[in-house]
Amino acid sequence: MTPGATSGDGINVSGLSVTYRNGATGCHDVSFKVEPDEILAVLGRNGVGKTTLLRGIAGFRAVEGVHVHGQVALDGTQLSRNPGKASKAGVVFVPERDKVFPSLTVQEHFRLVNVRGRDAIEPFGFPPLSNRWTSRAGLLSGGERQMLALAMAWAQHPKLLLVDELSLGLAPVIVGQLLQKLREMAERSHMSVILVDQDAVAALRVADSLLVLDHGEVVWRGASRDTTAAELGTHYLGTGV
Amino acid sequence: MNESVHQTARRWRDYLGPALLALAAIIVLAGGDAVYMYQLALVGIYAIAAVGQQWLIGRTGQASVGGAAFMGIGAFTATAVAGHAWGVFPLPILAAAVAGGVVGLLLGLTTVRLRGLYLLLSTLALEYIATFVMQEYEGQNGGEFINFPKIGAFTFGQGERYNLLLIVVLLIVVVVVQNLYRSATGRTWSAIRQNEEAAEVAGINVLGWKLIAFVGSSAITAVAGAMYAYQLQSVSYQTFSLDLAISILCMVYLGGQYRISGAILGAAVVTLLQFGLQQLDDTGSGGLSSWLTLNGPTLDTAIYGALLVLIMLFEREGIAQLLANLRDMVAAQVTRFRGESA
Repeated sequence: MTPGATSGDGINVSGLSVTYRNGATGCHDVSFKVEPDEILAVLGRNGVGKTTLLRGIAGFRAVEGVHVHGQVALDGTQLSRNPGKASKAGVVFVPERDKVFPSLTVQEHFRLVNVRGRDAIEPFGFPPLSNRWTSRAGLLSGGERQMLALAMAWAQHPKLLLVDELSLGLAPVIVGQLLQKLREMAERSHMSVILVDQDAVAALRVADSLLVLDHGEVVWRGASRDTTAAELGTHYLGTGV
Repeated sequence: MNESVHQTARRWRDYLGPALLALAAIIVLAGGDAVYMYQLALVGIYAIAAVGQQWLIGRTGQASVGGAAFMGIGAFTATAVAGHAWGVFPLPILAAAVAGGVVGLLLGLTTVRLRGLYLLLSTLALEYIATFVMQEYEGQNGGEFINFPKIGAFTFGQGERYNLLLIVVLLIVVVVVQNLYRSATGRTWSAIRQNEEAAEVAGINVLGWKLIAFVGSSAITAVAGAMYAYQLQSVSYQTFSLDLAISILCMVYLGGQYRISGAILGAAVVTLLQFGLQQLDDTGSGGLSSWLTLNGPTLDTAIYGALLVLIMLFEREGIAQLLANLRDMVAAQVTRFRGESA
């Protein structure tokens, strides 16, 4: 755990399984723990159940009528399988796409999460957002939209932040800035972060620990300092990166 | 568009609302024959209904053809309340709003998790259920009649007086809804319309806010029904048909689903289009006249359809946005002209 972490047990997932109506398995018997301040990166090929796992934790899968089994506890308290209640308990989910509201301005986005003035987002350290304060989100670049989504998430003071595909479609330099920001956010607010990504190099750069999924099951788990991108590639692609 | 053009356009927009309202008041107070005043009354009634439905459809993004059903609920409730000695104006209007709101709440509770076509079909079911209930009620109670509203000795009778009352009711509805839209709640509904899941993850109680929109929208639409009952002085289930529901939907989309002004414009265009076609029926001559008389109702529908297709193809935000584009264009020209003169 990063020095400076305070109270809280973080997130404890135990035997989480998500099954679709047609019997297909989204993820099966997934267990892990993420401490406060810790970033866990979930890696794997397309369709192995990474997003399903995040949505299962956030409660969306249960709402959509998919069967969710297993236990998810945040700071020792069982999480609701209703996204609204999970959100109130401190779970904030940044989805892969459609994470902003195109016709609302940046300012209006922050007002939705009760952030009033431009000064209030300075701690988030996203200068481009400050400069685009009155721009509609539909006119922002992909990187700016990710910044907006992350800043809005942080403004909600999450205990657990779930981020789906942060690097998708973004230039490496922007991804680097966003990951750096995510690291700072985790440490400043002592939250647990679960980051789903396909970019092993990016995941190694930011995550404390890694989890590789295949066919909905955990096939590898370890600390990022104990592995390399090439090794990770062999875990989930069967080939080096 | 540069800042000075923005300022010019914004200044014009600020004057546009009061100017249009003053124009409406002048038109109404200037008087005219009974047919003309009746058409203006219909514009006012449908404008209230369209503003109500715009809240649900345009602002919150919930597809609905429940407009006619809620107007019917309002009309029958107002008539029933006004039939009692204690049912003095404006009690029937308030009762209609409450009845509409309660049915809206029930509809919202049963359909709040549905989206798109499924939600639309549920509101269609409401239309059929409401028609059945109104028909049964009418069958058991006979024709229901209601006198023009009175405050003391002053009667808001047919013509200018009633239309003045309609302007006041429309104004109250517009002020209330506009203030809601300009506040944080307006942004919340806008966020829900654009992306329910993102709204949920932003900590918004999506189901709760959708229910509020169902209740508020239904209450306003029911008030329109009550005003319609006063205008007709009797109610029949046949008035609140699926045709009317589709007409209200057309008003919202043609005028501009995201703006209150769009709903009002849509109500005026659809109502006056019907009236214009009827006039053509009456004044045409020879073969054209008989053809129009025969095909008038079908022609209405065909023209709505064509207009809707054109709007969807060229300006999805409706006539209100077309006018806004025109305003911006003129503002840009005026700003350029001022710059050249200076």
